[in-house]
Order: sequence, then structure tokens, then C-alpha cells
Amino acid sequence: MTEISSDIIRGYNDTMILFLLLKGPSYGYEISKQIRNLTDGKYIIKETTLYSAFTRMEKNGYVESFSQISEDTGKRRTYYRITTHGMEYYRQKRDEWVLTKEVIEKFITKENENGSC
Amino acid sequence: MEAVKNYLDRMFANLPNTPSVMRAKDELLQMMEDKYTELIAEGKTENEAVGSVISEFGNLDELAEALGVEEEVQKQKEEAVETKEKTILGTEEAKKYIGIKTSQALPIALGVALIILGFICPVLVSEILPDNLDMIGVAGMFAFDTAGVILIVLGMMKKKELKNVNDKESTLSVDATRYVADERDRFDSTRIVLLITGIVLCAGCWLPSAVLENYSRAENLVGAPMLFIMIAIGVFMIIYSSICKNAYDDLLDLNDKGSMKAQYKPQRSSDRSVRYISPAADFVMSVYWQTITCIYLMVSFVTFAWWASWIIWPVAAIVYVILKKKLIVRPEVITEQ
Repeated sequence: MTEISSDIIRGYNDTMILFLLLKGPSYGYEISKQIRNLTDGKYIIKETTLYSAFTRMEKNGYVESFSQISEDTGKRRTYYRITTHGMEYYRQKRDEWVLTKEVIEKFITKENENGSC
Repeated sequence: MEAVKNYLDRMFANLPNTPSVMRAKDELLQMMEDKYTELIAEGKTENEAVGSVISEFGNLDELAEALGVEEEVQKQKEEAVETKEKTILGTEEAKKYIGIKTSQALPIALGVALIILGFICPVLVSEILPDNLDMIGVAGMFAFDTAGVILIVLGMMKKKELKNVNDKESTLSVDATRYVADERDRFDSTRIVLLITGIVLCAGCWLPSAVLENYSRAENLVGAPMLFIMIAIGVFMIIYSSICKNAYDDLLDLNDKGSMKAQYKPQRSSDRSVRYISPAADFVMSVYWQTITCIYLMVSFVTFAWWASWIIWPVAAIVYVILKKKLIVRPEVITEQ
């Protein structure tokens, strides 16, 4: 089975997280669960990857963290929310990906098309 | 969940306790706990849940940059070989160490108690026998003293077997750390009872004499020996309980200050949850009660004003509280926005 190359996806972890935060503030496990569900389990983000993405984006001002007591479990959690700066960055990354995809696609053969792969 | 915590402890074992590291550890634990809870709720077995939580954790390299601890992570890799050279004490060895230390406590405490009991001899002899036989009492006292000193020396001698721990050449395994911390907590209530009973006995030792004051012969025959017996038992309890406590603390001290295992010190016991402003302050506070006990006994024996000297205890308690307030360092609060 083909697996996702972590080198390729690394540049887009931030994009995925920001996309999910566009819908509203969220916390670590919630985000990682949504990524897994949205990709049908094809991509599972590691806890360390997620945490370093959060800290890096916080440093860059794309997200803000705040502490809040969770409604369902009553435990104190760190939540993250996207900033306007983060939304801007998200749009930029989105355009970048559309372009990247367009370019790479040119070199990808569809099955049956060229016969020999 | 214990296994997950354990795993995280090990990953963070050699990272410094900076706020950013602590925050990362907290939050990673939060995520892992959430995932674990959900997997269990889905009907996974404990082992399966722990397995997937740990396999999806990732690695420290990735965190290093975010935490500003690249150096430590690099060092940790390089030192991986070196640290292994430090003997790791397992639960069995820790048990053995505690066993030896505890068995040491008995002869030492008993020795001191015997020396105190020795004072009874001259007092009783001078009361019962004619004056010219006073020497017998003094001889009896020396017999007690000798026996006491021999016991103390015997107790101290065993220490060679504990060289590893005393030289700090070993470190505790995670399991052993938890075992020792748990044992110490369990012992703590016994220790406090022993300590308080000991102090009460010492402080109240003048009571029998006071009660018998009007019967001067009974006072000398019963009151005086009772005074020494109560002090002896009290001092025995105080010394015994503090040596036993040291056994646990010595073991826990083996863990590097920077390691997460050292967390067991502050987390587990209330009296260790404090950090003092300097090593000197830490030392003063750690020998405080022993010093007070010594002062109390010396003052009492010299002045023989047992009826008044107990005042030392409440005064000492107040001074202790004040000192603690002044010398304590408030734990750094991890700032969250």
C-alpha cells in the first residue's frame, strides 16, 4: 500500500490545521481526530508534529492559544483559534497548493492513458 | 494510562524543566489521554490503546526546535551510552536498600534511647542503696552508655553495603521511582504519628514527677525514672522515623534534578513540594526539627526545668512557619494566554 511521504506533507500540516480552525477554536486531540476522519485514516498526524506546528504557528502569529474548561469532560484544555494573519497565511498556502498541484499534475500519467505504468 | 504516562516521562527524562518543556509535556499528555480514553471507549483493550497512542506519538527531534531544547536532545542522544553506565536500580534493589536502611534505624535509635535510660541507674541507686554504694549506679550508667554506643556503631557500620546509593553512582528506574514514592507516602502517616508521639512524650516527660511532687520518695523512685523512660521512648520514635524517611528520600534524590522522574519529589509529598531560595536555606530547613530536638534535650538536661522547657516546641513551630514563608520559592506558574 502506498503511504504518504512525510517530507511532502510536512509543508501542509499548517494548512490542514488552519483549515480546521477556520470553523472555530479547537484543541489538540480534536484536530488530530478530524484530520484522520477527513482523510479516511490515510493520514494520521503525530502528536509531536501537531504540537510543534501549534507552537510554530503561535510564534508566527497565525494562531492564538487560550485555556478553557471543556464542556463535555470538564477538564482544562488548551484551545487554539485562528488569527486574521493566520487566515491570510491559509489563503496564501491554498493558492500555492492549487498551483503546485496544477504543475505536478502535468507530469502524472493516469492509469491506462500511457499504457506502461 | 499509566503506561502512556510512563512512556512520556521517559521521553522527557533528560530535558530541562523549563516552562516551555513543561507546557509541551502537559499538552502532549492531554492529547494522548484524549486519544487513549476514546480508544478504550471504542472497546479497544488497554494494550491496544497504549500501543496505538505510543506508535502515533512521533519523536522528540520534531519537538526540539519548538521547545528550544535542540542542544539537550542532541546531548541526550550522545549521552545515551554514558547514562547507561550509571547503574539503574530496579524495584528489587530499591526494596533491598530500604530494608537495610530501616534495619539500621533500629540499633541507632535504640542506642540513643539506651544512653538516655542510663541516667536512671545513678538516680535509682542513690535512692535505694546506701550512699557509699553510689559507684554501682555510675557503673550501671556506663554499662548502658557502652551498650548504646556499640549499638549505634553497629548501625552505622552497615553503611558500606549502601555504597552505590551513597556515591550517587546509580539512578532509579521509572518503576522503582514510583515504588519508592508510593512506599514513602504510605510510610508518611506512620512517620507523622511516630514524630508527634515522640515529641509529646518528650514534652510531657515532667508530668509524672509533677503529679508525684507531694510524695517525695515516690517522686524520686517513680517520677525520675519515668522522666527518662519517656524521653528515651520519645527520642527513639523521632530518630527511628527520620532515618526511615531518609531511606526513601536518599533513593529519590538519585534521580537527576533535571529529569522528569524528579517530579516525584514535588508531586508526591507535601513537604517536598517546596523549593527554598538557596541550598543553605534548604539545609537549614531539612535539619530544623532535629536541631530543635537537640536544643530541647540539652536545655532540659542542663537546667532540669522540664516543666518549662516544652515551651521550646510551640515557639519552634511558630519560627518554622515564619522561616518557611520567608525562604520558600513559589513554583513557577506556567503562563498561558
